[in-house]
Amino acid sequence: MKSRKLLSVLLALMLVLSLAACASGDTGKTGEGGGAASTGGAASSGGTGNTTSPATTLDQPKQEVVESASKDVNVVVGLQVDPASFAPFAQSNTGRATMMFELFEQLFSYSEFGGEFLPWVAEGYEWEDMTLHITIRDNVYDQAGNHFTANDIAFMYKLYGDLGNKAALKYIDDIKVVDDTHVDFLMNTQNVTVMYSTFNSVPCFTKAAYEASPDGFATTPVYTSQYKLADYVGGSYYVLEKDENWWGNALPESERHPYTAGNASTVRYNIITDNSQMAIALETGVIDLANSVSASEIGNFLGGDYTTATLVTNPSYYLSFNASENSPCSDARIRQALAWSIDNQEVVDITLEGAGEVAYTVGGNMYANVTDELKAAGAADLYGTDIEKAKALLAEAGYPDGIELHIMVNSDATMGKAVQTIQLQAARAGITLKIDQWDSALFDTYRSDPTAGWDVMMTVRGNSSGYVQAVWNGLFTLGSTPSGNAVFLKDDYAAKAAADCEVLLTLEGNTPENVMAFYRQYFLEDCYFYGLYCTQNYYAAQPGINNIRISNVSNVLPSACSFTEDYKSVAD
Amino acid sequence: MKKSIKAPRETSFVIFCRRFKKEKAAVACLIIIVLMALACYLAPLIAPYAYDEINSKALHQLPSWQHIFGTDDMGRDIFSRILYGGRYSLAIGVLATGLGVLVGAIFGAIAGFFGGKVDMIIMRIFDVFQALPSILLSILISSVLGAGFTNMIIALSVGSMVGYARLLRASILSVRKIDYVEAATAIGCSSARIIVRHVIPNAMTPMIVQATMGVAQQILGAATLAYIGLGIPAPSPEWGAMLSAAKDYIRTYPHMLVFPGVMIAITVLCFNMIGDGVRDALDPKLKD
Amino acid sequence: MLRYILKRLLWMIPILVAVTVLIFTIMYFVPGDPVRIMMGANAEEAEVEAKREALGLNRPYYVRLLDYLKDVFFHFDFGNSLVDGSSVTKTLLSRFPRTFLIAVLSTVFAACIGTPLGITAATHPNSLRDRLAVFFSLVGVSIPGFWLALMLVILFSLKLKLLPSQGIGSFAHYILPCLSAGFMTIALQTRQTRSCLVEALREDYITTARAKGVVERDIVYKHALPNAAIPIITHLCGAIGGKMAGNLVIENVFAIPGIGQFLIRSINNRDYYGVQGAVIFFAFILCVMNLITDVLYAYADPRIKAQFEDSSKRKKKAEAGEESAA
Repeated sequence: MKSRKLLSVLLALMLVLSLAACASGDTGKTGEGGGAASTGGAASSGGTGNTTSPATTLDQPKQEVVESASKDVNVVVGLQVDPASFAPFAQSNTGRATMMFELFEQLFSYSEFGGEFLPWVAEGYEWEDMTLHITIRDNVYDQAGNHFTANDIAFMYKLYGDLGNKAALKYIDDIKVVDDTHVDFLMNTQNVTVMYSTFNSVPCFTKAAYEASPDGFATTPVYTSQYKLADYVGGSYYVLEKDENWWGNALPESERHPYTAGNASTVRYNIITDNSQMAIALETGVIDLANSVSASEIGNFLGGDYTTATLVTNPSYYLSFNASENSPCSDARIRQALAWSIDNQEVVDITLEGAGEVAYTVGGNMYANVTDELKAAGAADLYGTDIEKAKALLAEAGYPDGIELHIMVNSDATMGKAVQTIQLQAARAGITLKIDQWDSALFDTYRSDPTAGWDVMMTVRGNSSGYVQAVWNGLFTLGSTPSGNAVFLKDDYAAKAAADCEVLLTLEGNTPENVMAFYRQYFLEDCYFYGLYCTQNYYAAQPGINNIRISNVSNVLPSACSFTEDYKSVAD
Repeated sequence: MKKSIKAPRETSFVIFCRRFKKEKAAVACLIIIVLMALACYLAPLIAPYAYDEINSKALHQLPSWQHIFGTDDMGRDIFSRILYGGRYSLAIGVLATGLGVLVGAIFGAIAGFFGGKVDMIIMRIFDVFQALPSILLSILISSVLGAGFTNMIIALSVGSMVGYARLLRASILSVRKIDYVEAATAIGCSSARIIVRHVIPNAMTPMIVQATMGVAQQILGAATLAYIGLGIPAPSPEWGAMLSAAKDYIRTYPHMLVFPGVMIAITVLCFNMIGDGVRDALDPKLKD
Repeated sequence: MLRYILKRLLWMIPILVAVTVLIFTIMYFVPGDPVRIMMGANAEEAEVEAKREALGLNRPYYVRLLDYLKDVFFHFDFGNSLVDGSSVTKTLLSRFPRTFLIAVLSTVFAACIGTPLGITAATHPNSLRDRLAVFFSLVGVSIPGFWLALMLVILFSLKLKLLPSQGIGSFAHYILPCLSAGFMTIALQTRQTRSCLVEALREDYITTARAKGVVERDIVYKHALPNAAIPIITHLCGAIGGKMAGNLVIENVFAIPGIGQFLIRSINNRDYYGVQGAVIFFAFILCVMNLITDVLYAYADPRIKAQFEDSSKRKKKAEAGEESAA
């Protein structure tokens, strides 16, 4: 008996001791570190509450290059998606998008959405008819010490194609290396998105380094950037360390790309997939900066010491119809009926709890050519809500007593909520929507199959080049699915739509009037696609970071944030 | 004049009921389950709201008189959703177990009866299936079949089939050796009679106990599958799916998490206690 | 004894081969295209087709299966993940320690907490202690593990701010995951210990021992418990093997980079090689744990041990007899 009691007491002691051990070892700081009370520049939004939007004004955070103090600055960032691979052409996700501008360098890059296209590793470019002459800097070295030359550029693009990718090669006919610092891209088009398509997704690396890598840079990346990968635990964290030998240190201030501020000595990204865990981590001092704070959690960080920022992101959520003969949605009136019954603002209120903006087309309001005129036209037409009209259209199409349609969506929780809201709204007009929620793998398979049993689907699309017609191009191009364009049409009409969209991309065709005309025809009259909303991202950081820099793909750039004099990281 | 005296024969079922009634806790749990099942069945009458009634003005409300368990992130009444959700959870638990018992029993019976090569092959196949953890098997089958009510039942039952098969096979093997079966064969009882009168009743006991606990396990399994997103598509109010939706709000609105979890725990607890009671009531070693 | 172990190890090979074929076939039928996911929804059909060809996914079933079997069993190479191109073998090996640590720790918790509870309950039948232990164990097997995990996070991480809520790093990071993972095992362990010990205490030899005047403590620890130990040990060892995969959801909740998290990610991305590799790995571990369980079983139970020794002693006698006869 006694020994048993002793055993249980010992166990209890063990438990208590281990609890005490971790209580002392835990860095249980709340975010009241820095004494700097100023939250200069960053857009703090006021107001909390469930249904009202927390941010009514959207201040873009300051985007200029800010040098920091000379001491070591460490940043711990909470990141919601694991990049999974550091290979140059691996599948893109939010995690990769975050490290894209710290671990990678491009030849040219936008500094913000719809902003200027600035040279980075390259020095400049010049168009001569269909030839793009590119000059690169001659002092570029990668982290292994290899000299980066034009030959490496040719290698990069060849590798891109060899690995089965096509998007960046779309406009390139050939690449000719002139000498070490000059290369000619022979293009087949010149339009508003040529530069973006060609250079945005191809980071710079040398042939020598790539061939020396055992796994194609997947876990052992060697790029030309000023941060190198110091440590990586898949699914858990990765650490970037500043490289003192970075070639760009020799550049004068004025020539450095805004993303290369290099204010941090080390950046550690902790992978935190849960929204609530992310907020907990920031509050309990586990991270300095959160790449994403959900709308329901941001209330805890507003109006206090924390630095916050917000941005309406460019991915557009929209409905896409199945216009093949397998579905009643081949009749435009049915598509319009559904469009009339949807109240976009209600969807935003319920699904996003106000953290988002209504979209009047596929492409949010931040895109060029989404003018007030376009928005007004949309609001007056399909994007308004008129249940009677919807019912009338249904009756006209031969369904006076209503119709049952299948709506498909992937497993994303937010999109699921949106579809449920739409289901309720459609029911008001007599449209019964049956929800088919598939996980991403299945969803992606079904979306290119007109016989898969769906009539309308909800999905998302975006393009950081800044032009709404670039987003549309993907919708109307005839190669999206084996059956034609994204709504499964490939007749003459569809071909005309694709051609008209291509015209919008050209330098001469890129006018608001042309865009308006296209919009009226294919969005309002034909209603092949119906825009829903764009989401609003929130970012938060400890007070020691007084400006949160956000890249043009809507993720934070910790090394370009500005830090106060007495900034102290949670890692210190 | 001779009177033939016939002692009244108590069927084993009656004996079982008598002994089960003595297990107070188990009886109480049985009553709870019956009441729960009734409430869920009558959900359309009892529930104050529809389970998919979205209300943009009443998001995330804490429990109040209007919403006994509060509302979720889309303004739906949690109490109503729990009532409707109970139908799914209870049905899935019972049906998945039933399917597992049925298929498992068939294979176990074949293996037990025919013995020899057939038995060996079937046993090896069991070994292969049992080399995979059952939750894993359920997840994989669920990925193949997709979401949906019947698919979930099939996916969940696959993991448990081998267990029941082995149980039945073991019972049959042990019974085959018992003398009275040999004796029955000797006096010419047909195989069918042996099976029905002797083998099955003895084999049933462990199966019943296991099945009752199995329902509990399947309800948990269904919740787990729903939590990772392989459950019945939205807006189904399945309890596991409600937990999955609540996990983003554990800081701000923990009530969304508490109620479905407690319901699952209570249901599973009751089934486990009933299983315990059944086992004790059927245990021949316990004196009456 | 050794021969038994060898025989079991040899048996493992065909079982693992069968598991490989099974999981390969299941993944073959899983709908959904990993290449589509890799390339993103907006990629064009031609691109996707080209990539699929480059990855060798267009070859017929048998070709791919045989190739895969060859790779796994002759080269121990599980292929490259379709998600990030890294070696699946390396990933599994690097993630294994964490999953294993949680499985072992939670089982240790179970043994340390569950066994004494079970003993207390068994030695004081129908007392308050007994009833509480029974109730606690029943509650323990009824609570969904992931729900308990979330509730513990709310209590210990949010309200009390004592423990970290996710990730790895220090010992403290492992407490909540092991507790939530082990809770059900603790409860089962209590039940097992209690019922086995109750059974053992009812045996006639215990009555004899009592009659002889043996101290109650010795009765429990020297006579009853060793006999009850067998199913208890079996349960514990089996628990470790089953828990490795069973902790998938816990790993997800606490963002622990173990094999379970890898498996879920692979399933979601239809990463054939990732899923197959992880499943075969789990099956392998399970088989090994089963073998260890059976061996321990044999050592713990002198009757079974004698069986093995008998057969080898008999053989030796026969050989000696032959020699002397020759």
